[in-house]
Amino acid sequence: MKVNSKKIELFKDLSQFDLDNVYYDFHNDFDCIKIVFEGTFILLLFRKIIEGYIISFKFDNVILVSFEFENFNKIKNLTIDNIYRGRFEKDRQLIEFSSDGKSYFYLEFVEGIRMELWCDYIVIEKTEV
Amino acid sequence: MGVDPDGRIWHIVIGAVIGGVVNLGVKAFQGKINSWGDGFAAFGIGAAGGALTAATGGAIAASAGLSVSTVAGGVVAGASGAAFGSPVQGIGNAMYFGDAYGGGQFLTDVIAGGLLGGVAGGVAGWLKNIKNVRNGGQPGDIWGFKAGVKRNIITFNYPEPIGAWGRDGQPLKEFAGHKFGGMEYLDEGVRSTPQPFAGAARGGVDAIEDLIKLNGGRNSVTIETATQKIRYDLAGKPHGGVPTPHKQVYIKNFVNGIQKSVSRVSKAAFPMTEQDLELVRRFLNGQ
Repeated sequence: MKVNSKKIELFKDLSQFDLDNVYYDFHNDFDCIKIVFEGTFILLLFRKIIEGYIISFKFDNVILVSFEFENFNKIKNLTIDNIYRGRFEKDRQLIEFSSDGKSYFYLEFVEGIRMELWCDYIVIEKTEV
Repeated sequence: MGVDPDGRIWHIVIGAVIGGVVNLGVKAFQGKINSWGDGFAAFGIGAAGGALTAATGGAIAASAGLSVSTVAGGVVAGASGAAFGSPVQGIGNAMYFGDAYGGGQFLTDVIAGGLLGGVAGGVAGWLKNIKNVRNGGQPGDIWGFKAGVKRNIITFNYPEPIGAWGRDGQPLKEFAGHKFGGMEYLDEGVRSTPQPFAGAARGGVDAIEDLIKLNGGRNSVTIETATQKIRYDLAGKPHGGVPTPHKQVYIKNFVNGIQKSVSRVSKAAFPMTEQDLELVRRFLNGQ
């Protein structure tokens, strides 16, 4: 499923959402097993704890604005806490979209990893293992 | 018998009693009370002045959009109330007891009323904030707090205040006499203060399953306020070593009154209490 990021509801929590009439709770039922930043995309891989299948969450045409990573020694499994489209602050003004049509996303993990990025599209796919 | 369900005349009654007692006391001190009649007259004159002061001062402050539990509201209420009450009491005392009363005394009363009202309003506002915090509001409650710089505070009570955050979302080290150690204190406090959900020993598993069923098979319930959201995870993986059912609190961050983002109040997940479960049940039932 490919979604134009502009069409994603503002502040809708994408860590828990419906995809093709199936409810996915990445926060409670999945581990984030891999994060890849390569060229213009960021890919998150989530593995369902019980069934073991994988959902990939790909942000396309990305401009990574900030990245924080802490608590290295405590991390065993990553748990996504929040993924949502928010607003970007520039000169004390808030904007939703960049001049080239990208939307601003916030990603936060329970363990303390945080990312903020601009992107055009989100591609979500399910992979049976 | 008349009733006053909204309590709209009690401040007038109290003003009358205080005015009456004070005027009686002053006249007694001045040696002008020589009979029951003198006593009743002194009390009555003071009561009339006090009642008029209370009735007019608060109303004028309110009409100016001011609360009497602020310094500005107290000054306006005190001064304007005295402007009405002073002539009644002054002229009454002049007629019965032969006291002198003129423009100078009127002006003194108005200034004194304003000063006393301002001090009383400031103290009342401060006490109100302390009381609000100590009485433990709900997560997400906002208390206006004036301490040199006006700022909005979010307090989190669980059940005692364990943290306070400014409008910028940053934790405060101290608020209304409560000292907080920021996130670290919150983490420690949460683990020690609440009564965790009783669990399977008290039929907890059934209760959780009922809630998940009520929630359409979903493990998580999010309740939002204008400034905050709380995610209640009924089942699923532990977060930070805290098993489900647990909850996480997020605040909404605003810039110029427009929401920018959402961030967690603490990295810790808090064990859900029996009260939390009941809250979720009522929420899911649309109550």
